[in-house]
Amino acid sequence: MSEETLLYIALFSPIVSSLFAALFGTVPKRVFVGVVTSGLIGLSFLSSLALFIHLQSGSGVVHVQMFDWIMAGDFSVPFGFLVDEVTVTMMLVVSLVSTAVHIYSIGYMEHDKGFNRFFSYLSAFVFSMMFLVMSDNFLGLFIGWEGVGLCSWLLIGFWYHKHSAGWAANEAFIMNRIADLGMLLGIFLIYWTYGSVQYDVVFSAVSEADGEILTWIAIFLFIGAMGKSAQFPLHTWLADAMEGPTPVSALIHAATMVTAGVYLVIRANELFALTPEVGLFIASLGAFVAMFAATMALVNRDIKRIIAYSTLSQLGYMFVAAGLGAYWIALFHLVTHAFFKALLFLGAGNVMHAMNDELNIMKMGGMRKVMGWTAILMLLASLALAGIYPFAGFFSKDKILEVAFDGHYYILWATLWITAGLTAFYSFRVVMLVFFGKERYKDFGFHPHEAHDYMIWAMVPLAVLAVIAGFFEHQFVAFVSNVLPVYEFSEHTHHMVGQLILVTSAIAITGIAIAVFSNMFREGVFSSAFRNTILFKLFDNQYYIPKIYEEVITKPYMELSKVFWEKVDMKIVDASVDGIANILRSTGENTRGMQSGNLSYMLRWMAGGMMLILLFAIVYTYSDVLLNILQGVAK
Amino acid sequence: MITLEHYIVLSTILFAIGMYGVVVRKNLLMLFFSTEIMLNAVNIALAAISNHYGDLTGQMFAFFIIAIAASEVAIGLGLLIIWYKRHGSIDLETLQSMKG
Amino acid sequence: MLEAVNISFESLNMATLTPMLVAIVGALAILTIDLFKEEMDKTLYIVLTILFLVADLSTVLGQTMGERGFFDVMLIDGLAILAQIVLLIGSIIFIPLAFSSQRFHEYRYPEFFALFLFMTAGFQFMVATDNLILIFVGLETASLALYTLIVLHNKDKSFEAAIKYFTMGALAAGFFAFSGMIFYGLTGSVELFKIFEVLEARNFEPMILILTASVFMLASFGFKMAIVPFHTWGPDVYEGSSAALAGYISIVPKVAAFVVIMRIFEGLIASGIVWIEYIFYAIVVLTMTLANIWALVQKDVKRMLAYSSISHAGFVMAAIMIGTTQANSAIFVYWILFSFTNLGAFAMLWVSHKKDSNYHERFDHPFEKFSGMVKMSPLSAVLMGLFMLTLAGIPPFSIFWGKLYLVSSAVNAGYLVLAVIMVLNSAIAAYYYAKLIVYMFMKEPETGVDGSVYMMNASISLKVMLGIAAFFTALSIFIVNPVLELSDFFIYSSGF
Repeated sequence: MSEETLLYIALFSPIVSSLFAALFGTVPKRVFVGVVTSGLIGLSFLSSLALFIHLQSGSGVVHVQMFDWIMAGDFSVPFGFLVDEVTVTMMLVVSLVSTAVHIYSIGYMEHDKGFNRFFSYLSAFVFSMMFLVMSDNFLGLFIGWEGVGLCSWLLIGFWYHKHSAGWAANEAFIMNRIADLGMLLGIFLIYWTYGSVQYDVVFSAVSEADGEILTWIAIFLFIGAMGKSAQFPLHTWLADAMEGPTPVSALIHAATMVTAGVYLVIRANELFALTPEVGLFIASLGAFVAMFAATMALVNRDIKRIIAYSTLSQLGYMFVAAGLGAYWIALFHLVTHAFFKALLFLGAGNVMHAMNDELNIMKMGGMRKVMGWTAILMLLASLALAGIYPFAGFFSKDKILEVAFDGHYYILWATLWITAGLTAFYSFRVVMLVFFGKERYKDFGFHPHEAHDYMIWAMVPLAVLAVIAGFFEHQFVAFVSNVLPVYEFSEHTHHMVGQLILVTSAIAITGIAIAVFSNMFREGVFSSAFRNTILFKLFDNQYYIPKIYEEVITKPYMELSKVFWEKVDMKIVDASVDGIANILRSTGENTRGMQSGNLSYMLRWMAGGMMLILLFAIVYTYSDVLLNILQGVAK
Repeated sequence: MITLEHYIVLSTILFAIGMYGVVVRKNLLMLFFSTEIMLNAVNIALAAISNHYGDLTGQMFAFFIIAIAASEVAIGLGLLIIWYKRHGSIDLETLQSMKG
Repeated sequence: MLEAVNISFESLNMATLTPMLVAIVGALAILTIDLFKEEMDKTLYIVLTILFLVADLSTVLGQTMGERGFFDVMLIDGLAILAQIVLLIGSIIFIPLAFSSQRFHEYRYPEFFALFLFMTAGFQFMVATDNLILIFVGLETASLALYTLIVLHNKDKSFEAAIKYFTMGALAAGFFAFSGMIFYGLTGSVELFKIFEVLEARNFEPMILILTASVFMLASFGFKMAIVPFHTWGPDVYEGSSAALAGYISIVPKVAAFVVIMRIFEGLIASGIVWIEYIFYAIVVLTMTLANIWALVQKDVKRMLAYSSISHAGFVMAAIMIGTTQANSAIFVYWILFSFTNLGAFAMLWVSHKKDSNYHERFDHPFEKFSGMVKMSPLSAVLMGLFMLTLAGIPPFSIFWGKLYLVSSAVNAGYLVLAVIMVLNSAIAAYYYAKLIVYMFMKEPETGVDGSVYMMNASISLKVMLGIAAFFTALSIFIVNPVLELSDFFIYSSGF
């Protein structure tokens, strides 16, 4: 099969899948819908794999032009797709995690009324995401970007009858729109500067542009990335997005969509490489978010929110790497993170399912006895997240710390280092509270049970990858180095690597140890004294940021809107619009008499109109002659 | 001596009469007569001009106009007869169900 | 002594005539079949008609540009080919609407289909010549057939509509003949290119006669195009004919008339006669604006669509005034996009057509009929909504692109004020299209109405046609470019 065919299969089988499921959108649950969609997404994965092998063998980038997609005037966008090393990595991650999540969802959603609809949305999301990563131009990327946003909105609000779900969906959508505006401005600026939105055209000419414009482009693009990847201050939607079904959280809000921002920075690396000051800002913001999110995760009791905050924190790590120019490391962490985070979410899904959608980890405990497999899988994922050797997270996270160290950004390094400890702590706090200790769930009358076998099996590939992916580091570097610049460590860092690893592992293990031991002594990990400190309250209330948004933005906005509505809109705008409409309407009413329906009048209009035009033309043409005559008469 | 101008003036006058008829008449049959007058007025001028240039095109035009006028009459009278059968009148006042 | 007329067959260049002959042969074939065997099912005739039209289209596609034939009467230039393509596509997509599930009077007669083919041939003659006589013959053939088609609907209102249309048409024919006579008298020719040659050589004197002839010509074709103040037949004819035919009338005859106007007036405007440009300016603005304002106050959807197509015609006429190649090719893109959208909108009315409707003492499709449609027949409501949004020119649906190209060509040619007026009119238009959407999606259904009425007249083929219309309307973004290239190619090569 030609590469082009493979590319089209990889791209379009998700949309076929989505349309197929949509056919059954209004009918009751049909299991085969889930099976067929999973199969089609699996097909997309296999095609991506074949493309990967093709690229691995060094046969070159696959670039297809589907057709010329025109806009206005001179603005032409050839509509094409590009599969290079970075793209294929993303495609593999997206399609693999999607396949696992699709299979998993057959079990997870089995009692849901919107079963078929769910699969339609989920596959549509996969299509948009594939579109996003495979486009060969910024505009296609933007379309995919909006597509994933839309699907995310649909899926967060999947249980739209729940008020909170609808609210969270809208919040995510609106926050993303704000950021997308920035991104759109960036794309306009790119077009304005380079006369094209094609990656190859733009990047080959990237240095020709003025430095200031480049900086603005980088800033605008990063604003877009901030929205999608939920960076501070646009981060609040991610935790609220946990209102959606858990497989959605695993796929969209952990493994794929939220990493689109990182992908954008990696994809546009030529551009960001020329704007180191923006890069440093990205890295600093990333480090800040990493720590900031980790602290919120420390004290939260909602299992999904804890994982969501950890996602936020890990995205921060990726941005540090990307901002400091270590693009392949960012991509590497993106990949390993996708595996273990999706695994973690799916595990959380199992727990929730077992607990009748209870999310509070304080009501769980000792569940390893009833759900052993889930416990093992989540333990593996948590180890990978904590960055313990030899799990995948160890390799990628360590590299990011090395990069920070190598660039002499010691503050960034220290922040990330502390965060590594916090990460280890909160991930094991979850594990301990859920799977070990006293079986508190009995007090609340729950009867947990293990998930279906195939759900566990769907998680296994992710688990395997979460364990072993790290060992492919060197192959990975070699593979993506065709597209991405290889980050060279200085000699000094090279010598220090051993110590750095030791220091990082030490804090991670310390974090785990604290979590494990404190849980042994005291249920709930934290002492009541700590609970009363300001710090705890700060963490627990997410730094009061949602509240601040509510008070500073939402409420005044409401007030302002009300004022505008009552004073400006109703009195001025509405009145004038109504006025215009009324004028138009009354003109219509008054002149419709022209259409009297009387043939005689109709003929008169026709003949009379013709004569009138004739008269006009004659008067106009012979105005000078007529004037002379008139003057003659006057004399 | 009757020159080309005379024919053309005659034709124009006839045409104006036809158009006047179209505008003022309230009877469908009279309307059709008027449009016929208009077309035939043009025919006079066409024949005269054709003769003036010594060129057959104008006469051909006139013949085509006669043929078309004939088919128009066929259709027009058909419509008129149906209308008369249904409403018992060919006055334009009866043709006013649609307006506005 | 007259010499024997000796004409070689080759010199006739029959290839230029083949497309029309195909249509005429088709019409005769249908009549002959009826002679031998009466009361055949309408399906046969519909399929035959479509087949002959497709054959017609394929011969058009096989024509070579820049040919003349049949005593140099026929002129096959890019414009002729392009216009025939548009005409035939329009005819092909509208005739399957005859596959209605309810029985209608007109489709029982094979004559309906024969007349339809004759009419198509007439329109083809109109566009494929620059001889005033043939234009006249083509115009009248087509118009007389069209009057009859309207009458075949066999309702009181159809007769009234046909009589009005006919009488005004007769007056327009008189105007045309008079104008042709003046041109002939001035130049001794009835061929447009010769007329312009002579006029130019004489530096457009005597102006008063040229002026009279032009105005008469404008009135004659302005009537066909339904531009203000010659539009008065429009709404009544739309109301009186079946929705299927009304949709057809909104496209095909206007395209043919438009091509003739283009042939006659582009030369005059380009020659720098100012008053004619002013007249066009006034007519374009009046047509767009007044028709839009009248559309606002309509109570019937079909009548509203009638006014809306008058307004669209004004839009289209703007291209002639702008007169650049860009505008001219934009306008054909506009026609093609418009025909698919109008097909959709009128087909939606057609499928909801009920023989003995009692919604309203006068109208078949009052707005109230569509109240709360989304609750009873969501898919139809969404489709109708799609077509309305498209007609309103909302991106990314088809007509938006047509408007975009046209407005941008107006701007490029320096007609800034005109461009602003066009955009303002689109805004007014959006208001009445939105009115139907509001009825469909926000109002409560009327009591005693169930959803079945919206698909009353639907058959499989009608649904397929709706699907096609919706497909081209929604995905026009992908077809705009090829269509534009095609249109550019033909227009450019024929020098307009």
